[in-house]
Amino acid sequence: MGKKILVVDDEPDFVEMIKLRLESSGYDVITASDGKGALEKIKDEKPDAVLLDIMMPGLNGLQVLKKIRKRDKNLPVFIVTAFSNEERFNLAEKLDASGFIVKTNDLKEELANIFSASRMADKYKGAKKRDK
Amino acid sequence: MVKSKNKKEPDKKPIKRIETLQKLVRKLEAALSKKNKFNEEVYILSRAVQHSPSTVVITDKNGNLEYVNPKFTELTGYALKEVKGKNLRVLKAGDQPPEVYKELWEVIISGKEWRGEFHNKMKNGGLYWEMASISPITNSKGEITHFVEVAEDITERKNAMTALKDAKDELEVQAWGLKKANEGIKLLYKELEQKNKELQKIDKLKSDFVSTVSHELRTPLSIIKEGLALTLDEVLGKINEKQKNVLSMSKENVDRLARIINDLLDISKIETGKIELKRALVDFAAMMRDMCIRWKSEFDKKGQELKVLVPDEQVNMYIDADKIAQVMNNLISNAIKYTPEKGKIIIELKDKKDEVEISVSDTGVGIAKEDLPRVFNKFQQFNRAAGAGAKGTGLGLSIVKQLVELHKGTVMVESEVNKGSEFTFNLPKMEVESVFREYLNNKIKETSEKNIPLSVVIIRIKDFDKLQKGLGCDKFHSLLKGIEKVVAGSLRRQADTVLRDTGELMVFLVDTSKENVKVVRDRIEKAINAYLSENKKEWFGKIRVLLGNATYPDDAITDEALLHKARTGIPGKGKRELKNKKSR
Repeated sequence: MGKKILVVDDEPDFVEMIKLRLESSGYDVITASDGKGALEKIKDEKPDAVLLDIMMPGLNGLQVLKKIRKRDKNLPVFIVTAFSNEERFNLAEKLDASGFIVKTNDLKEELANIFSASRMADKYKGAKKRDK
Repeated sequence: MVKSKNKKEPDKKPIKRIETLQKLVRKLEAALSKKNKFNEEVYILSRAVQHSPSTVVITDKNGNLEYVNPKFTELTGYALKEVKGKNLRVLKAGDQPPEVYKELWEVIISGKEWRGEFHNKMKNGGLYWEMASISPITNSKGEITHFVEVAEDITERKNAMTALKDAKDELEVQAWGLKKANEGIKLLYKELEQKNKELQKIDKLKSDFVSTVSHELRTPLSIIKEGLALTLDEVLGKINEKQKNVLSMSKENVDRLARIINDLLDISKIETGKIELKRALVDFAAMMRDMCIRWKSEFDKKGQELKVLVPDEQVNMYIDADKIAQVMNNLISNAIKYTPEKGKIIIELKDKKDEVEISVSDTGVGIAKEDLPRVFNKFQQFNRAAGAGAKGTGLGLSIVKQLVELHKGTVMVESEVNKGSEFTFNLPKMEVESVFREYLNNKIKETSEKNIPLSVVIIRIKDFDKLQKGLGCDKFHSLLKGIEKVVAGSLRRQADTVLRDTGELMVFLVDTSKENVKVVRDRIEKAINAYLSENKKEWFGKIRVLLGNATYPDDAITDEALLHKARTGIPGKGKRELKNKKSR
């Protein structure tokens, strides 16, 4: 059985695309469309990693991350954003995000980057990838 | 002369009569002499009146003219016989209020003298002003029988006065005009200020709009892109060559669109002053070497030769590494794109005294002479045959220029068609103090626009130089890092920024008032001391931190004064600063 990834995003089409991509690489994908749902899924289904959108109605991604970190310091949580805004990255770093994915970049590469076997275990080390 | 009519009387008592007569004669003689004397006086007086340089007029008790002197005739044109018996009123010019005459009349019938000015009319209609004195003449019983008016022509004096008054009035009018003009200018200024505010608002709206739109565009774009990528990668099943080609083209153009959106957002941020440099001490040489390694695969793809001329020693500078990386990425990707396979690209960094010069030169297609001046404009793409890679956005070099200028640097280009291009930019080396000041100035600008206070807290490590020598650079560096983290952690707002310097930390507290900054300062101090005592027992007691604070606009309104205010109270300031400068 592949590793279980939770994708949290309020854009169903984007969730669908990521799901297809991850499943093609052998991952199991579960999804949530908001922060509350995400926290429940983490509790109930214990995913191996989380892809977390920042801009969501209700609890935003950073708030969700804060709540996750209160419970689990080691769960790999990757921030997904349409922004390439550095402040958000910095903030995500401060909040102990494991890394981030820029939506408009090549998702195959971005995912390969964060899910390479060593990465999955390691904490994100702050080697920023620029949004070119 | 001594003849008497009484001689005809009969002589009764001749002697007595003679005596009486003689007496009478004497009386008569006395009277005559008196009369003569009187006549003489009258004569003299009348001569005086006749030749008086003043006009003299005598009226009866009703103001009807009885006598006017020649001066009067000369002035008014009226002869005595023309006006005798006429009322003095005939002279009135008629433009003085009746009260003047009423008052005059009241004064003179009470037996007093009246003085005042009359505006009168001559016979020929001409007007003149006189200064007059009118007195009543009374008989032995004290009854007023006549009035005498002595007057002087004051028309000229009056005219001069009027001219003066006119001049004064004119001046007053001008002064009023100036005042009005001044008010007008003030109003205009206000209007301009208003307009400026509106423009700023519009500008903000525009940049907010661009930012929102870019973000909104990105999400659907990423979905389209990933859809194409999934299909192209045949995750969803096999596709034929033709389908692959079309989808590849689509994907390339979606990528291009994404780049345009990113560049647009960058440009919009730069142009609206939203980009703030986050300067930090960076080893520029190391950074350049890293960048070249990162780009290596791209050079290899086109079989291009890359020559890196970067000094081995450290080139420490206060720059915003992310922004300068963006500049380099743009220049390098251009060089790769516009240089044919097997071409050569040289990346060079020269450490000069006050600045660092970086150049990226290639053996590419070059830029035509006539196009060179427009190279850094927005949306300029020239007849440079694009390489196999992606098409540009036409914004890259414009962003390069703006980011370099934000660093107070300059950028230049030299090029020759079919020979190659060389892009060079210089970045001035900034003193720590200037970096502080630049940062502070940006913050002041930001907060004064919003009309909110800005407080700064300066944290200095006592005997920094000595400690650094004792502890060693690396250890000290990690200590500073730790302190910075602790300070950041003790702040409650995200807008707070901490800039690390060699031995001095500055905390910017946007919207923190003069009253509240002391509380924050105490909190920071406690946090640092707790950090030193708990985590780094070896350092506690050896390291002392000194704090100072100041608030804009309460304490000062210029960056310099604010820094000064914040640093007063931190001992040993002057010496240390001098030392720092020398060692740099």
